[in-house]
Amino acid sequence: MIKTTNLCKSFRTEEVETLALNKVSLHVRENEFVAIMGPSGCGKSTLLNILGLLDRPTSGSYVFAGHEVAKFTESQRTRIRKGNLGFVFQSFNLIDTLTVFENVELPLLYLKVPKSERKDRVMEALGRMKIGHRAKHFPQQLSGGQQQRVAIARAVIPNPKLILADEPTGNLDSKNGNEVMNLLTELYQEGATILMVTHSDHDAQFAHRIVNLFDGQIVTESVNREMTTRE
Amino acid sequence: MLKTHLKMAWQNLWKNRFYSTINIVGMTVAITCLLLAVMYWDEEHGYDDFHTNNPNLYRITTNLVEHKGAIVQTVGTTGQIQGRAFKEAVPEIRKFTRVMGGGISSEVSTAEKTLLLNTLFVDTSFFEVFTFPLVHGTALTALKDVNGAVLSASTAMRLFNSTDVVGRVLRMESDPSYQRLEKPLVVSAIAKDPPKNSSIQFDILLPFEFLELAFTDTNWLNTYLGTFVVLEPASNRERIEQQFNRVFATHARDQVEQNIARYGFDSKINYGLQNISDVHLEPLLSGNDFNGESGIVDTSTPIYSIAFLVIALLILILASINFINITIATALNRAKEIGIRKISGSNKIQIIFQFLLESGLLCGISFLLSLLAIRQLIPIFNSLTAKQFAFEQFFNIEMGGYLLLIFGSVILITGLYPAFVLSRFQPSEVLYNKLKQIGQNVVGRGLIVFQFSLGIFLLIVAIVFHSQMDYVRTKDLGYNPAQIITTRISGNRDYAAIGNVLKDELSREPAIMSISYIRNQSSGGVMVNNKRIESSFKSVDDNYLPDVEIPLLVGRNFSPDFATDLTNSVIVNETFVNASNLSDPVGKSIELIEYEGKPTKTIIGVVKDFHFGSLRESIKPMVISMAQVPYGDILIKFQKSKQREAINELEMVYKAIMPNAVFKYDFLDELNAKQYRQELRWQKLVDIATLLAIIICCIGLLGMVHLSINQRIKEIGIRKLLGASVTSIVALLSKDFIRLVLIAIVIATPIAWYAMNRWLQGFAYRIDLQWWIFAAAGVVAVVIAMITVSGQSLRAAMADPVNSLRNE
Repeated sequence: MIKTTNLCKSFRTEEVETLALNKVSLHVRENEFVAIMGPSGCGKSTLLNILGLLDRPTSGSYVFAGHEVAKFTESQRTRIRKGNLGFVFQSFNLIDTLTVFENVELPLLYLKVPKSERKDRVMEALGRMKIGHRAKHFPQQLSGGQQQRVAIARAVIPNPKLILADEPTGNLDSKNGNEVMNLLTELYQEGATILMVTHSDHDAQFAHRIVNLFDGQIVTESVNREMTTRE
Repeated sequence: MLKTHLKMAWQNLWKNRFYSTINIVGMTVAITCLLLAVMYWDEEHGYDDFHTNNPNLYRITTNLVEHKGAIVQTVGTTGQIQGRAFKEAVPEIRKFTRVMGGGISSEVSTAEKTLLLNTLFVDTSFFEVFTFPLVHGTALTALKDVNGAVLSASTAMRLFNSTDVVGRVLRMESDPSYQRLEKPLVVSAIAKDPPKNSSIQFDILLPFEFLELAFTDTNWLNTYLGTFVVLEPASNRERIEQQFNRVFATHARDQVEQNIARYGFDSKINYGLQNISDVHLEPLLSGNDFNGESGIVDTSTPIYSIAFLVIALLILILASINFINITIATALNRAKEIGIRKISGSNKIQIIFQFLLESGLLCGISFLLSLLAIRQLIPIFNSLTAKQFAFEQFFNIEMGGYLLLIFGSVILITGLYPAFVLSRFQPSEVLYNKLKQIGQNVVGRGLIVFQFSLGIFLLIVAIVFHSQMDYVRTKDLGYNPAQIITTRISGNRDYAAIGNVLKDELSREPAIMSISYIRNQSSGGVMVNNKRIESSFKSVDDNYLPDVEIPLLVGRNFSPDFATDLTNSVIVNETFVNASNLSDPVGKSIELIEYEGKPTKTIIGVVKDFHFGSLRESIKPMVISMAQVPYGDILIKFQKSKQREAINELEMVYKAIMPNAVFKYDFLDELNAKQYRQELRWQKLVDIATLLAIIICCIGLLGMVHLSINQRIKEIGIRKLLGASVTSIVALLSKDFIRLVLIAIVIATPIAWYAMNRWLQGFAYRIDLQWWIFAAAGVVAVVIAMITVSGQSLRAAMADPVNSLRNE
């Protein structure tokens, strides 16, 4: 599903060039749950953004679902992103001026899904995240855990091939955090591919494989036996 | 402390450069307009203030009923007789002088040259009443001798190349008084040129006694010249006016009775006093008659200074709205700063002070830029207003006071409201991010709607103004003014003989096709079948109608072949025929009501209606009689493309016949165009105001869009992440603002329709207010707003979503 070869990303600020990613080669198969770990500033989020087609690498190759996408333009990346990728963020990134329902509906709107179908799918997704009763509320009227469930509903609603999660539990207490992790696990078990950036060893234990980044390079990769055996 | 605050204020302005620039540009434009308007106001309201007698210096006004009670009016004039009679009867009058002129030009000659000079006939006390300092000679004796003449300094320079010319000799050979004087005029004094803000302007002053050699008038019912009086301080004006009326009642009784016997109505004259400072803006000109002897010139009305000020204030409001909108909308970014300040012990007053300091700094910069701009713009402003302002005028105490007042108010208007709003932030809310987003920002949106309503209103005004002026300029006048030069004979000359020679000589010149005469006479009554019709009177020669291509509908033109045409025949216009209900007008008799008798005339022809004068007035009934002596205008029709030759030939002949005369000419079509000079100036002014208003609206909108995008930057990122295209983002961001402009169109259209409809009522001939005018204004507004909004939106929509989502 994802295959990167010698992926590099550098940032230039006032004559100082920082290498955020240094020759990262990573292979993620379909229906894998991969956690990316590492200390602050090691390039985790940069890698996730490139894999999520939000950002472009400086050099190297990135093949997503059979397409070489490293040199894609913004509009080409938008087209691939639409419906294929779902994002979950630490800070939820919900639109404050839209209701819960409208937030979740947004990806379908951009996929030009007919109205009646949209309604059914949104209500189903909200129901599954146990948040259906809050459809008419605004994000700021919800707790953090509830907001993250809305964000996950929005991420999964177009049935994406890949879900990217950036510190999904970072802003949540342990109870809500666990709930979110259980939801992601469920999605994985239903066949989704999940790539998650995290600080938390606890969260990483839910993954199938753990990739450790340090100074923009992959230093270790380990298979989570517990998960594999559980499978 | 102040230094720290000032430094912080400066840093803030610099940090928000984009918004600071918007504010400075807007405020500079607004303050520039306001300063110019105040300067104009000051000038208009400062006329004639320089006379040292001023608080006690008045003009006598006359209230009278004219035309059988049809017109009741107050005029700023009297006859010759009132001044002296009132002075004798009213002890509170210290001095008086009559002033006759303003529109009177005299040919004045030295041994070397002849000039046409603006002449005033005044009493010997002129220099005791008014303050016009002398350069040479003494005020008390300057006008004592009947042949004494006072020249203005610049006129002395023009005539003699020197101002030290007391005792030099002048001739006025075409002047009837001079012809009876039997000795030359002698320059008795030189006065400084009257200041430009004086209603009384002159090149030469001549004693009233000199005028009286040829023209005396004891009629109490006449009103044509200015009588000015200086009253004792603290006189009771009302009582003096009553005394005037009593003097009139005794002295004028016989004349009033004669008048009633002749015209059948009483003029009911009574008198008033008007302070000289009010004369410029309230000139009290008489309706349709000649006002060129009233002594005052360069008259105005308050509407101009008011209009300037209103326009400037509107622009200031627009710019202030930008200022307030931007300050409040950027508040969120500064909420944290305010919270921290409060926690650090700053009180509300100090925070308000800080914000006021910031607007003060901003206004100060704008103020300096305005002064620079005005320095550059004064020539343009002068041509727009037909005034002569100088940049140095700003640097006097009065203007300095206005400057301070404007500066202070602008800072308070723009700084106070935002300062209060922002100082109310609670630290506990802002520091823990509990502050709600300024959601829909109703006030800000309302202000944008208001701004655009104003902009669209002005746009409609400008379009209507242009359409109407084009219509007026291009409307068929009913005659052809092209290829015609006008000139006239002036002074006391043998008009008949000169006219004949002129016609003879000019008809031999190759470039000249034809010569004709026309004289506009005052209006009056005409009796047709016992019905009185108010008509205007003209007299023309037999060439006039064909030369200016006015078609005859029935009957014939005047002709020298019919001996009775000169005495008995008239031609009338269509409107006259309609007003008098004559079915077959040719051959019918009408009776002219003249001062001496009621001559009967026979209609020999009817001309198609033609316009004479401004299109503000509709065509009036007109009675044209025949004249063979050029007392009025002489029209010379020339060969097309031979204009230069025609003028040369005319000048040559004119000067050969009248060696001491000053040759002046105009083109008839240019004279017509001059009537609309005032309107053209206002058209330019409205154009400029509209342009400025729209520019300010747009930069305001730009600022608001910029802010709105900044506030929604995360939302834009999320939407892009979820697959939104650039187009859909631009549409999303623009939609809101375009909707505001649409609301503004809905508000502005009916108001503009009403206002312009009212304005057009002032024209007898006017355009219809077509729907497309409003549609065009709307489309222009929307397009301009779209251009403004879409640039910013596009930039936001193209940006990488990562940047907006990353920092949390």
